[in-house]
This record gives sequence, C-alpha cells and structure tokens, in this order.
Amino acid sequence: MERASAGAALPVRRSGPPRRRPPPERSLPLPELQGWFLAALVERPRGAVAGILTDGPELSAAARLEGMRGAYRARLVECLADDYPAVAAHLGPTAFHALCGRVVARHPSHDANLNHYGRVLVDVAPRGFTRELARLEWALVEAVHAPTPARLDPLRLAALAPEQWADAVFLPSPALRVVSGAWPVNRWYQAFREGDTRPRPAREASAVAVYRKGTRVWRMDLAPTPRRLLSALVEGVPLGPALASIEGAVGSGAVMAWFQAWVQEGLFADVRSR
Amino acid sequence: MSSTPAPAEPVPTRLGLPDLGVGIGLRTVHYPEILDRWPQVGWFEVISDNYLHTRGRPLEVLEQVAAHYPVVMHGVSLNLGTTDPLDEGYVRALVQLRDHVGARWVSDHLCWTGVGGRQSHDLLPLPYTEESYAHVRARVDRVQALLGTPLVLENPSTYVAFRASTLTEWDFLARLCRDTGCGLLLDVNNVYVSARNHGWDPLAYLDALPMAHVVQVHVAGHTDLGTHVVDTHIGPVIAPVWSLLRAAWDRGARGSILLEWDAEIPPLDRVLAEAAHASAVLS
Repeated sequence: MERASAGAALPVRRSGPPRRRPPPERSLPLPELQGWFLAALVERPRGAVAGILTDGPELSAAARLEGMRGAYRARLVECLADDYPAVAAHLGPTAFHALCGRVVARHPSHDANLNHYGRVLVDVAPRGFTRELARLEWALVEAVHAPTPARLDPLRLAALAPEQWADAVFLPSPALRVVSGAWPVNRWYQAFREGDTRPRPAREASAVAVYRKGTRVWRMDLAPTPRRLLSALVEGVPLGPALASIEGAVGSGAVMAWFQAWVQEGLFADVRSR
Repeated sequence: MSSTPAPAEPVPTRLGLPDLGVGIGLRTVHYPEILDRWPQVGWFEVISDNYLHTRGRPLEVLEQVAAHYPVVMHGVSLNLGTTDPLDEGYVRALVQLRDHVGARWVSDHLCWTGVGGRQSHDLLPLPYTEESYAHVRARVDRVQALLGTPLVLENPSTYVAFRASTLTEWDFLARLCRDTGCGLLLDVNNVYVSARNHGWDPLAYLDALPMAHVVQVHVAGHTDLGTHVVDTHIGPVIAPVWSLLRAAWDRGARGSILLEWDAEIPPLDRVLAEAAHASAVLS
C-alpha cells in the first residue's frame, strides 16, 4: 500500500479521454434497477453492464462490477470460517472452501443477520468425523448466543422432600448442549485449541456437554452412563425413571458426584416437582 | 409587499449530540483485555447487528462495556434504500437495544443491502436520482419517527456508479440532512476511497456537506489495488486520509472520532495508539 508523507497533497483524479460508450439504455425504475444489480452480483449480469453502470478512471463498468461480485460469497464463507475454525483446520483450506461453496450454493442467505446462518454447514458437511466435529462447533456457537443461564440454586434442590425426588424434572440451562457420536471429537478439538492439529482419529464413541458460565463456554466430557442420565434429564424425563435407566451400571456415590458437578457448573436452570 | 421567509433556525453542532472524543470499535478479539483492564478510551462503537438475534455472551459483554464507557450503535443491515418494505421490526429491535445499553445514537449507511427478500451482505450503491432521493428521504423520515431521534447516516464507499444518476452523492447527502434533519457519520476514508474510484475531488465533497450535521467521523485504513481502492478497514490510516480529517475539521466538522480497524486486527494497544493519532492531527 502506498504511503504518502504527512501533509501530502490530496489526490485529485481526473478522467482520461472520453471512452466510446454504448447507447444508453432506457432508465430503469429503482425497483427494477435494484433487482438487476443484485442478480448481477450473486448470479450473472443480464444485459450490457455498460448500459447501466459507468466506467471508472481506471476500470471498465464490467470490471468494476466484477470486483464486487465475489463479496456476497466471501462474506458467507467468512461467517462459516468464524463458526467452524476446527473443521477448517481439519479439512484444510481447499476442501473447506469447497464445503463452504456447497453450503452457500444450497443455502442462499435470506436474513440480514448471520449469527445463525452457519447452522446449515452441519447438514452439508461430509458424514463421519467432519460432521460430528461440525456439530460440536455449532453447539459452541449456540452456547455463546443462548440467553444468560439461570443457575439452579443448590438450596432449592436440597429443599426437595425425599418423596418428591422421583418426580422431579430438571430444566436444562438454555446454553446446555449434549453432543454425542461415534468419534472422539472433543479430544481432537481440545488438541486443536492447544495448537495441535492432528490427523483424523480412530472411531471411538464419545459425548461432551457444552455449556456456558458467565462469558466463557466450557466442555465437559461425559462417559456413557452419565451421558445417558444427563440426556434423559435434558429431555424432561423425571429423575426416578432417568435413574432407573442406568440402574446397576454405577453406584449411588458416583451418581451424587455427577449431580454435584452438574449443579455446580450450572447445567440446570431449575427443578420442578410434578 | 412580498414577505421573506424567516431564517431557518441554526442547526446546533452535532445536532446537539455530545462530543465523545476519540473512540474505537468493540471487537470480539479484544473482549478479554477490555473486560480485564478497562483501557483509557473515550467510547466504543458497536456493530448493532452483532448484538441483535442473540441473548448470550455478546450481549453480556456489551452490557459490561456500556456500564463503563459511552457506546454508539453502528449498523449494516438497515437496508435503508431498498425498494422492499422497510423492516420496521429491525428498527424496533435497534430501539430496544439502544435503550437497553444507553447508546448515544444509532447510525447506518446511505445504501441498500438486499431486495426481493434476498440479502447481499454488502453495502450496495444507490443511483442518485430524484426518484431515489424521494424514496430515501421518506425512509429516513420513517426510521427517525420510529427511533424518536435523528438517524445518523454514513457516506458509503462505492466501486460502481450508475449512468442514471443525475445528482452527486454529496449533494444527495446534503439535501437529505437539510430536509430530514438526519445526522451525518462522515467517513473520511470512504470519501478518499470513493474519490479515487470515481475520479471525484474529495475537497469538493467536503465543501458541500452541512458540517453542523456531522455527529461522528470515521477514519480507517484501506487496501489500494492500483486500479481501485477497497474499503477493507485494514491497517493504519494513511496520511491523505488524516489530511481529509483535518480538512473536514477546518470546515467545521466536530463529530466524535472513531477509528475503524476491523480486519487483521492487531493487539488492543496498537489500535488505541492509532486512534490517539487523531488528536495529534487536529491539534
């Protein structure tokens, strides 16, 4: 980029000799002109660009328009890259941009706000490790944007009478997501966060709870049995039947430890007794 | 006996809005450091759209920042010039956010961003004609009625121009200010970028503007590709753009000054140092 010394004269550009222009087309009404222009940007220009746009000091009308045409796709790709840095690192730039191209082609943007646009990448990502990694990253995005979670007060939990426990229904924090699958995505993601982008790992079933405390998003690995219990509770299964679903798999001491950790971390917003 | 109209009430500087000094954009990459050490800076500009359609962390951070600093809302999705119906729900969401965090004013761009239900996610240029002027003027009036305060409009950076245009961009903006009472966010980098891309005289641009309407000024870096210049908000502000800031100041612009550095963002202290240069330029 050129630098000029302090106080340099401001550049005043003058047009060169008049260029030969095509005959002017009829003036389009504003709605039609905007429709033409948007189509020219995201698809292809219809008709002679030079009839509608002017040449610049250095570039023809067509060249000026061409310079703008990549911006629509670039912005959506930028949004996807922001939401899926781990998927981008796993696939590498060429494959990731190809994936983004498929996403943008199948899911044109209709909403000015892009906070939730990236959700669609999960559906387009290749099945297997890539898709499960995308699912984890999208859970992180959802945790960021979820309402400020209310935390279940342990005193409220302690106030439940023993006979109320079986029917107690736990309300999950709005920021809680349980992500499970056939690949150890959270272990891979943690290594990525620490600067170590590894090859795709071997298949290994895994689960992770994604949640937010204050402004920070956290991930908690879940072994199979606590995953089954937490998933049941998140789905609204009362505590009694939820515990029955894991009966015999683990002792009550372990269950209490999980509960204490989950309450302390704010995974639940409230508890209601039916 | 002919009567002469009473002279118009003089427009107060910055439409009576406060001078917040020099500020920077609130950017995600700087969140931890800002929340940790509360740096010395006049104010923060936030991109409104990053704090709409979210009830989570972005809003929590904004609430904390707004408790410590003046904040101003700058949007990119008002789609003011579209021939689609005005999205009044969007304006109401802006009002709700503004009132929640106490933003001093709300701004967006003289542009359109989509039509026919499709979005470009770009700030698209308008033809400057009597037809588009009437349309945009009515839109500004309606938005200001919904806001209950003046809308602050930024001059765009543009890369194409329409053969149908019969008005200059600067006259279009000046008329809009006078007819609607809207404020101006004078982006001197955009004046530079557009002047280079279209062969305009940037000083003639500044000469035409009603400087009392300038509520805020943007300075920023850009990317010079030789054949044209792109408003990338990358890098430090170059000397000709600082000169335009000085030229605007000499013409009476007294808006609060904001450094935009939105891509390849350096550490916070670098951004703050670049913003502080504005005071040196105007001293």
